[in-house]
Amino acid sequence: MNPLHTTEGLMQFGLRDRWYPLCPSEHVRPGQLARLDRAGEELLLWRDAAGVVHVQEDRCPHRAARLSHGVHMGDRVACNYHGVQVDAEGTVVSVPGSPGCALEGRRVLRTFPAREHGGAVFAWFGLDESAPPAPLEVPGPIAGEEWAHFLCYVEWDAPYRYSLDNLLDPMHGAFLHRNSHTMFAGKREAVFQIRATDKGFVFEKTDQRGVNFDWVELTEGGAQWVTLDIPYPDTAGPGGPFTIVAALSAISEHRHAGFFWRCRKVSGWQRDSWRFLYRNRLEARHFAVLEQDREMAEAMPADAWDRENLYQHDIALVRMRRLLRAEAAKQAARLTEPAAPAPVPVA
Amino acid sequence: MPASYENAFGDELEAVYGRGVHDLPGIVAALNASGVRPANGADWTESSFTAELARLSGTEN
Ligand code: FES
Ligand SMILES: [Fe+2]
Repeated sequence: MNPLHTTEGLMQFGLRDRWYPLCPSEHVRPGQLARLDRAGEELLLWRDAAGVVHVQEDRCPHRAARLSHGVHMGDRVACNYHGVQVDAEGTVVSVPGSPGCALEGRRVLRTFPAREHGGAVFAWFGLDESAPPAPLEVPGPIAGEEWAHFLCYVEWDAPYRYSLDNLLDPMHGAFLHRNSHTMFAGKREAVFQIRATDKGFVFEKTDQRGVNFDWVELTEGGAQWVTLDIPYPDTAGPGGPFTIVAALSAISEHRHAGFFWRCRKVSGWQRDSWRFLYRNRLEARHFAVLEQDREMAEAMPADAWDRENLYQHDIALVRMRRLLRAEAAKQAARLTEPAAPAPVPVA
Repeated sequence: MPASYENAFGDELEAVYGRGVHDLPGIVAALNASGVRPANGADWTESSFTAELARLSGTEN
């Protein structure tokens, strides 16, 4: 069975009816055909002559050869095997070996709605591929002008859900990152609460805010976003806390891509100052912190979720997993339900 | 501009900020009291300081 039609598969590769970030925009170079595996699909990414990015299945409609091994033709892609040409809508525009054959003019290449935002390429993975995508709604810190941001992109050898766990686990800041430049302060005991929001929840310490990694928000709608704040020390200069907007996408069962927009609400010369310090030294420090997370996540056993003993700090994980599993089960049921019987013709 | 200048400027800036000085006049005064000067060797002014930050901040995102 197609793993994307099972609850377990959707937990591993990500729910459908979601926008997922695929890669930084600059990874898709003009005139080139890029191959990426994301969210359980084998994808071809390319830009047309106008620079617009397209995301399609990396599978020739003729005999399934890899289109990514083909030829970029400006507004279309030609398969290298027998020359079939497909356009950005997924329509076969030419079959050079058999002009006029029935394949010409058919829209047979799976094509995923694609957008670029915040320096990344996103695609919509719909449950029903013929239905239009939900709008791509992005969190405030990467939506507007009052914020400055840098995108940090990583690929880790760990299931994507381990990274989701990690982001929804603020308490590890005071332990794993205790020697960092940002998370040295604050109590190492805390009581947490969950507050429901429109499209997800906030998980926060009841007795501390603005001292360490003290709260995190999960938004689960047409995309899955995690937003969190980490206070900056005085040395970072004027401006708001260090805010991270994170989104993840599975590469395989064992590997995922992580997108961390490092944001700060800051304007004018203060914005320039943060951007200078960020480039000159803060990125390296933030990256060293992220490496601690990577080492932890990559070393986790594959069956981590099967034998755990959770406590109060883990209620956000429990909530998130329950949310995802319920939605995954619903989607799997819809994908496998028998097709409605053909209507009986009325005599 | 050599990276060593940018590093020294960053060191000074972090040190000033670390003392809790986050306002423009305070920062300019503190920088003038320390060693790092603009390329022409003159005192920092608010406008030369903010122009330098704009130059060092890189391409806008
Ligand atoms: S497999 Fe692509 S043209 Fe035949
Ligand atoms: Fe972390």
